[in-house]
Amino acid sequence: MVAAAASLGPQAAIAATPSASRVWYSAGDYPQLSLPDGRRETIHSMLDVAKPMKFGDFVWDENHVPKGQVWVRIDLPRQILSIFRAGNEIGTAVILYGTDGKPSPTGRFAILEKKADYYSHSYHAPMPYMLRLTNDGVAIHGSTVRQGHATHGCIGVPLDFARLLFAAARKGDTVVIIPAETGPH
Amino acid sequence: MGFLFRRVAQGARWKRAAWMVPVLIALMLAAAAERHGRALSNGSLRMLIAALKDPLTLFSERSPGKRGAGRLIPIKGKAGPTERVLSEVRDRPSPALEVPPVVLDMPPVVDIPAGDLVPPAGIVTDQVGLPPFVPAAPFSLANIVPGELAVPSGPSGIGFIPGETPIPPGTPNGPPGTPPVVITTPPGGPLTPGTPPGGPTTPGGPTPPGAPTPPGTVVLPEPAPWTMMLLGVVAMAMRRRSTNCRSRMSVR
Repeated sequence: MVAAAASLGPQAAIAATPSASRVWYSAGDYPQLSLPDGRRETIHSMLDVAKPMKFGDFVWDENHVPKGQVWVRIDLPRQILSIFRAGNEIGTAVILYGTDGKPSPTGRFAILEKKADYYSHSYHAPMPYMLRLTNDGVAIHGSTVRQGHATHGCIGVPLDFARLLFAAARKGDTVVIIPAETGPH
Repeated sequence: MGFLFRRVAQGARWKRAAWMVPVLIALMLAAAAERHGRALSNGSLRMLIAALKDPLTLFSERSPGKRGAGRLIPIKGKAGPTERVLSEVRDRPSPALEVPPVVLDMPPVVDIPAGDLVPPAGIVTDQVGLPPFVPAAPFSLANIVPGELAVPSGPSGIGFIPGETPIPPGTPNGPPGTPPVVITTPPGGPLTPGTPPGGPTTPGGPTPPGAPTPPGTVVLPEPAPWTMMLLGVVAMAMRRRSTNCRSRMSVR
C-alpha cells in the first residue's frame, strides 16, 4: 500500500498501513455488483480491509492494477466509497453524506466538473478536490470526516483520499450512489 | 600459581556453557520458523476466506456501520472557515480613506483668510438653513492645546473633534461671517510626540542629543550598546569556560 499513500503524509500512512492485501477472484468466477439502474459491474479484485474502518480512515492501493475504466461506488447505508479501475478496487474510504433534511441524491451520475480548489460561496466553505455530480451543487469533495457530522447533500471524503480520487477519476466517469433505505441487491 | 588456577577455572566455565550455545540457536530458529510459518498460514487462510466472500460482504466488514439516529452536526457554514485569504493579502483600504499623516513641523500659528469662509455669491445658504462650509484644518499635534481634549470646547458641551474648527467663546453657533479663526499654540510651545497632555514640555522642541538629562530620568541605552555589552559578556563567559576546561585537562 503503497507508494501513493506513503507520499501523502502521516495520516495516509496510518490509514493505509493495516492489512493492505488484495482479494483476487478467480477468472471465470468474477462476482458482479448490481447497480441501481439495473446494470452490473464485474469485480476482479477487492481491497482486503480486515477490520471496520473508522471515520477519517481510507485505504488506497493501485499496485498491480491495470489501467482501465474507472467508476465510483458510494454506499450510503454502509457509509463507504469505493473506486474501481478495470474492475479492481483501488481505494475505499468512510464518507459523510447528506442529512435527512438535505439528503444526498441516489442513482447513477457522471462527473460533470473537476476543480481542485473549489470554494462554495453558498456555504462559505472550501470544497477541495471537488467532483461535481449534479447541476444543483452536489459533489464529492474533501471534507473533515468525523462521526456525527453530515453534509448538505454532498459526499465528503477525507482530504488525502479526495486528492487521490481527484487524480484517478476523470470527467465523465460513472458514480453510483446506493440509496440508504434499500440495500444493493 | 593463583593465575594458573584462575585460568583453569575460566576454561571449565566456558566448557560448561558451551553446550548451551547450540541449544539456544536451535530454540531461536525454532521460534522464528514457528512464527513465520504461522504468519504465512494466517495470511493465506484469511485470503482464502476472503476470496470466498462476495464484495458486499467485504463492504459490510469494513463499514463503520449505519449512521445512527440522533442529532447531526453540519460541518459547513458556521463551523467551516469563512475566508481563505491571509491577513497579508487582504485588501487594504484606499489611500483616500486613510488618516492624513501627522505633520510635526507645522508653523505654530495658522491663519485662515477670511475670504475662504465666505460662500461664493451664487450659493444661498439660507435656503437650506445650514451654516456655510468651513474647511477643516489639517490635523496636527501642534494644534492640540493641553487640556482641550478633556474640556468641552463649545457652549453646547460637545468635546473637541479633530478636524472641526473650534468656535471661539462669545460667538454663539458660529453665524455666517464668523471672524477669522486663529489657532495659537500654548505658551509652552507645541507638544512633543510622546509627551502626555498636560505633562512637562520642552520649550523649543525636542531635547537635543547631547543635552543633560533632568534628574530622576532613567537613561536607556540604545540597541547597539546593549548588543556590544551582551557580546562582551558572552565572550568573557566563553573565555572563562575554555580556561576551566584547559585547567581540568591539565590536572587529569
